[in-house]
Amino acid sequence: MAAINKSSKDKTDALSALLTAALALPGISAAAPGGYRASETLLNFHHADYDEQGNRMSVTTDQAFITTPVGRDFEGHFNAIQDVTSGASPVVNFLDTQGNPHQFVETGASIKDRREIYETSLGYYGDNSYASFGIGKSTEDDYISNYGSVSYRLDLNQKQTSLLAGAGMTSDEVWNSYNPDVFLEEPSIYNRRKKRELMVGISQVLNQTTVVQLNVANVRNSGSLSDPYKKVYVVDEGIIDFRGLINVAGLFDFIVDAGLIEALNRSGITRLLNESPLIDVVGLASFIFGLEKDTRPDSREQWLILLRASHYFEATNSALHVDYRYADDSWDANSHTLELKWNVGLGADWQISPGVRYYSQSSAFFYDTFFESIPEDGYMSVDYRLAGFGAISKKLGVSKTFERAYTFYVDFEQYERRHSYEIGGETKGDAIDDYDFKILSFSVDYRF
Amino acid sequence: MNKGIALGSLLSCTLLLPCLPGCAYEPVKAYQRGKLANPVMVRDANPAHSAFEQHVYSSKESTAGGYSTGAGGCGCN
Amino acid sequence: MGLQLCQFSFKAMGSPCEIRLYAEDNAQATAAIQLAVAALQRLENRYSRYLTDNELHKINAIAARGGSVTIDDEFVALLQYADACYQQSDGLFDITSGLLRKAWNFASPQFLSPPSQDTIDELLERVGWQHVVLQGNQLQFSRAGMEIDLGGIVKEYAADYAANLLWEQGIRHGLVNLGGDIKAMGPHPDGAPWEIKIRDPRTSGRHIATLSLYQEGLATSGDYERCIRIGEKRYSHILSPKTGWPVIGLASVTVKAPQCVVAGSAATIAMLKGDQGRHWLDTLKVEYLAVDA
Repeated sequence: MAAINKSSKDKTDALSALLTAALALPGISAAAPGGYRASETLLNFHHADYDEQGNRMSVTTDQAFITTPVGRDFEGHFNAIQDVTSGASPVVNFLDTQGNPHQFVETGASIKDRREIYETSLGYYGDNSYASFGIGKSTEDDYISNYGSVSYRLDLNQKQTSLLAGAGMTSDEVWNSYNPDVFLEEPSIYNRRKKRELMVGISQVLNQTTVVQLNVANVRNSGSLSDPYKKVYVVDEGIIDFRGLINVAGLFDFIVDAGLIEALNRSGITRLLNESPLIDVVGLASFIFGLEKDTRPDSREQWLILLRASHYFEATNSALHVDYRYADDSWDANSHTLELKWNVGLGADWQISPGVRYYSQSSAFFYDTFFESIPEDGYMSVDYRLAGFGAISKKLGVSKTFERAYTFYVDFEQYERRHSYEIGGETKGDAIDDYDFKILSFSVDYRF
Repeated sequence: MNKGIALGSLLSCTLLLPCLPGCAYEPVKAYQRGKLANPVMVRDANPAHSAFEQHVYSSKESTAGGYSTGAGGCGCN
Repeated sequence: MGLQLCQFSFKAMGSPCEIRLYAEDNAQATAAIQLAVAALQRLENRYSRYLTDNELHKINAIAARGGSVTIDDEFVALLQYADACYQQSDGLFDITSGLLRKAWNFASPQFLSPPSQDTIDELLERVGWQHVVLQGNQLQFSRAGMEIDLGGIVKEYAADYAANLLWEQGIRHGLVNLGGDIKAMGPHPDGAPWEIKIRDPRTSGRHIATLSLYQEGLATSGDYERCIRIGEKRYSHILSPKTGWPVIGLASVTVKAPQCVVAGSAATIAMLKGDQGRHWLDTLKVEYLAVDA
């Protein structure tokens, strides 16, 4: 006899086919109430923990996101994020008696940085287009970033082809937050930098199961791009070449491991030294050991190409998403990124998504683990992010939707960075910068 | 530095090739796009997570972006 | 801002119709309703098979002779939608199957026994969407004696169309009901859904279920009061384009879907699938109510 069957949020192939065909009918597609356009408000909470191996650095992030229909054609978004970073980052590499570099990680002071981000954007749905405009602000102890972006999508050819264009501007104010309780701290220097991004793209429905997309982006950075926290060890600038004489790295390892630096920092002696008009710790370190500032060109340009393909497999109700990205960099830190993500629909609104990501970059032209002398152009950095390396990530995501209204997501990622993973031989870099991290994140969507 | 552009135009040629007349390209009608509308075809159903992921990569690697515009900056070290 | 509920009952497409909506004032309600009703009249005039001077009749004149005809974009879109239904139902939902009614005149008081197989076979020769080619705005009938009937699509589409027009007039809370083919624009202003009561086919005046509508469409195919009995078997009055016979299985199906036109065609396809109808609706993952014949 009669039976009511409750539906689920997933649209099946047949239903999607009928809905898509229905939306092509005149008078329905124009502004389809309850069609594909967001007709509900979506609220999302996201929490993630990032942990580097050996407790070197950890980040906890919390995010609240809301998207809601505004009037008939608009959609508003608001996003608030707070990150808390604790731990330490490598400051400089010292050499041992064999001349091999060792990282000096400032762990004496417990670094605790808080980043707050507020973003808002407004999207407009035309009949065959989507335009959006957004602004945001990101604030840290030592950083303020203001940014804005516009993007536009035009659907052509009965929505088989879409053209995309976007532009973004970022204006940053950056300084080093001077902490007199930290050893080797320099007084604050206030700097500005700018980033502007342009992107064009095309996405194309190839057949009933495949969509491909191509993006080309140009990113230009200018201003002060050096890292005020990082130092460079230049052998010739020290009072003597310590190699073969003293194991400087061992000495620093010892004073760090023995808790000497921490004791100096904690006891207020560091502060006393830093604030004393008689002693210039940084100047002294530079004079004795040859510790120089991280110095980078004040402009940088990158060209990025992204090729994305998504293919649906009916037999397994799954889709494979393949992304390849190539970046050409004026600093020579060119990179390849290949990412595979397999979304598998398991029924009952469960989805599981295993994935792998491979990233490889070559070193920047002014990067080295240490320097014998100051290069002619004056550019030098030991920042591990500018080294040559490769990284492999393994990922797993699981999601489940309840009652059409709630979706829960859990995502895990294991990331391994290795100097030896670099594609096509190794450019400058060292295994001392190898590390692993893990990300575990939880997220919930609520639609109403 | 022009490698990027050259590769870009090469790729867009192959991409547009199926649309050229004379090729065996069948337009996909609206009603045939049911599979493309399957939820698994949405690469990132959870944008908050993918944004955080991209943020982590951009603070640990030298390349950032290319996926969409508008990601903000950070002073992460 | 006080919204007031306005109701307007009228007759269109051979059925009692009703529009219920919340508007700021009478003037807004009247203007919006007038627009919607005018649109419904236009659709009825164009696609009714009972009129002899409309677009559908003109095209059916060509269908009867065979050959091709140029049709406008709206007609193309409707035929493309019909094509999607045909594909998704493996050929069961066929807008050329209306011809079969010539053999099965259920409405006639003289209807007592099934027609002869010869009569059915003769009609089946001229039934089949595969004999129709739609290319751009050109519609071509490769056989003569065919007929197109948009009866299973137009009324449902009209409900969506009218609801969309009302939405464009700023109406956010309302319902269009065209003889049971319903499209809601949005719930009551307090967020409560529209409660649609489904009649009990066996006891009049009783309801077997209530379905809630927020922004969805709801449509019913079949009529439990019009089942027919041939020998021992009970048939619905839905005719299969494959056998030329009425379908055994369900007497009535009510489906809820984002669009009324989708709800309507899903209900019809489920009816055509007979005993498999329920299973098909289960795989479609829509909310439905099915009543056995």
